[in-house]
Amino acid sequence: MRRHLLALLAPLALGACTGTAGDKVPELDYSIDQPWPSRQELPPLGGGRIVITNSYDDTVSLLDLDSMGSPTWGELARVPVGLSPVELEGPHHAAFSPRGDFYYVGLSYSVAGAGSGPHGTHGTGTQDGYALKLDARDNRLVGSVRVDRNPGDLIITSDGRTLLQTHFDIKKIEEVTKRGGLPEEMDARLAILDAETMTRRAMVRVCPAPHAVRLSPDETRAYVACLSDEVAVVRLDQEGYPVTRIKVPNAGSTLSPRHEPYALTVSPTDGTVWVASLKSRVLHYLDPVSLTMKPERSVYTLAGSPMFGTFSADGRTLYQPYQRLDSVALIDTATSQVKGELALSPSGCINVHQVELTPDGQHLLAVCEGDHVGPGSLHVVELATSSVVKTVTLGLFPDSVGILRRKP
Amino acid sequence: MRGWACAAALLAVDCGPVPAADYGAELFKDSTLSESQYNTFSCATCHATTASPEPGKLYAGHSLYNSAFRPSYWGGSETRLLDAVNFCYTAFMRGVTPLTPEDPRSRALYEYLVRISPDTQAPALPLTLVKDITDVPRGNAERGADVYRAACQDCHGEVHTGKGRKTELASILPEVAQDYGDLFPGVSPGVVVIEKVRHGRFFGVGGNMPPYSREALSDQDLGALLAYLGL
Repeated sequence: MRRHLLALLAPLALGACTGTAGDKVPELDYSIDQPWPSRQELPPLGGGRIVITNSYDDTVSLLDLDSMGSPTWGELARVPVGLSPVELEGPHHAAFSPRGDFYYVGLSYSVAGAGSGPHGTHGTGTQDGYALKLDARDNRLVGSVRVDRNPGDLIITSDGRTLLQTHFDIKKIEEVTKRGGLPEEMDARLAILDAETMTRRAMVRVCPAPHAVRLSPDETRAYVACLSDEVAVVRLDQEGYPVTRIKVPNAGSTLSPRHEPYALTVSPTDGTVWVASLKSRVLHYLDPVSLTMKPERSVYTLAGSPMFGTFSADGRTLYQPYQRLDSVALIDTATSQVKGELALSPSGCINVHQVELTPDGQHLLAVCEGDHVGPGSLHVVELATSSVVKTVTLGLFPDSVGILRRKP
Repeated sequence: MRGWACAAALLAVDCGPVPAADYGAELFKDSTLSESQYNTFSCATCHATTASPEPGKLYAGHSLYNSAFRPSYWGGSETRLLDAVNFCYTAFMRGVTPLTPEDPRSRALYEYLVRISPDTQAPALPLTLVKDITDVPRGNAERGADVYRAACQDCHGEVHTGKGRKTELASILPEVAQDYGDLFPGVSPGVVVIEKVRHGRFFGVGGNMPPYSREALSDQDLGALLAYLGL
C-alpha cells in the first residue's frame, strides 16, 4: 500500500518541478553541452568549392576544387536545399559571395512532375519564388527573400552586397495574352536584393520573360536576355534604374519571337555582350558603347542552342556551350570565328547548360542537364589537351555551375 | 506511518535543477511549446517514441525513438535535427519563430530525444510522399474503422460528430465531403480526401494537417478508411 502511494506521488512531485512549456522554464540541469550538433560541416573551403544546383531534386552538388586531380574525385556532398522538405521547389542558379562565406540559390517552383491533385498541378511556376542565402560552412539556410514567380538567373555584385535575380515568367505572357491585356503587362521584373539582409531594394520592370543577367565590367549596367527578342539594359547607377531595350536583328514579337534570347555573357576586358538565343541558335553581338547589335560580329554557325558561356581571363576566347551536339565552341572574340570545339557528348553529356573556368584557367567545368529524368553530369575539360578528364554524376536536371571561393 | 511521512516529504521537496531530459519529455507532449493560441499539436500528436509501433496507433510521422543521431530527416530533405524539428514547429504547430539551439526548451527537447536514442548509428528512415493523387481501391470497412481510430480520431474526433476532436479547425468526417461536389466539380470526394491525407497542408491544400507518407499509411489502409467513411 505504502509502495503504491509513493509510486503515485513521485510523478506528481516531478511534474510539480518540471512544470510545462506554458509556465516559466524551470532551472534545468543539462547533461549535453553542445545541443543540436551539425554533422554536415565540410572541410575548409581551400582554393574553392564547385557548386551546382540540381533543379529537379532540390539539392546542390558540392565538389572540392583543390582535389580535382585525385583519382577518386567526385561530389564532396549533395545537400538538400529549400524551404520545405515536402514539396519540390526547383533550385535554379546560384551566386557566390566574394569572401566565400555564403552562397545564394533561387527557388523557381518550376519542376515538371512535382505533384498533382484536385487542388492543381504543382511545379508550374504559379507561385512566388525565393532567393535563399546559405552558410558555406554547413549549407544551412540563414536568410531568404520572396521574389516574383519563376526566378531565372541569379548573380551578385563584386562587393557581395547586391543580388540581381530575373524572373523567366513565360506564364505571364500566356496569361496576359489570354485575357487580352496590354503588351507591357507581359514584362517581368528584375529583383535587386540586399545580399546581407536578404530584403528587396527594388523590383524593376524589364521585359517579357527575362532570363540571363550579367553585369558590365564597371557594374553600372545589368544586361538582361529577354525571350522577346531583345536585351534589356538596366542602369544600376541611376535613380529609378532606367531600362533601355535593344532588339536583336530581325526580331519577332513577344508572342512569336524569332530568336528567343536566353543566356548572355559579358567580356571581362572590353564589355562586349554576347547574346545566346534558343530558337535561332544565333550568338548576337551587342556593342556596349553604341548599345547596338552588330550583325557582322554575331555567330551564326552553332549547330544547337547556345547556353551560358564564359570568357578566358584575357577576353580573347569565349567558351560557348551549345546543345544538340553538346559541344563547346571556342570563339575568337576578335574575329567572331569558331576556332575550335570541345565535344562533350562522347563523355555522356546531354543538354549542356553552362560552362565555367577554374580560377587557374586550365580547366573548363561543363554542367549537363541530362534527360531531366535521370541524373545530369559534370565534365571537367583539360584545356591544354582539349580532353574530358573527369565526369561526375550529379542530381536531376543540374542547371548551373559556379565556384565558391575567397576572391583575391 | 513512515510511508506517509515519506510521501509528505516527497511532495514538499524543494525543486532544485530539473534534469533537462525530464523537462524535454514534458515538452514533447505539450502543445504550449508553441506560443500560438491556435495550436493544439505537440510533438506527440504525430510521433511515437517507442522502438516498435504502438498498437492501435498510426502516426503521420516516424517514431522519434533513435531519432537524435539519424543522418537525415524528412526523407533526406533535412540534415539537421533542429531544422527538422523547426519545420514541424512552424508548419504544423503554428510556431512563428523557430526554436534556437540555445533556447532552454530547445535544449531540453534535444536531451530528451538523445535519451530515447540509444543507437548512435541509427540510419535515416525512408519517407515516400505521394506526389500525384489518384484513386485507390476501396477496402474493408471494418479495417477502415480501426484505421480511423488509429490515425484520424485523435485530431478529428468521432465520425459524424467530431466529438473529442483536438480542435474545431479539424473537419468532421465524412460530413466535410458534402461540399466537395461544389468545390471540386467532377472530382470524386474520395479523391479529395486522398489528397488531403497524402498531401496534408502542402501542395496548395492548406490547413495544418501533416501528410501521410506511404510508410505511415498504406494505400490498402487508405482504401479501407474510405470504405469506412463511405467515400
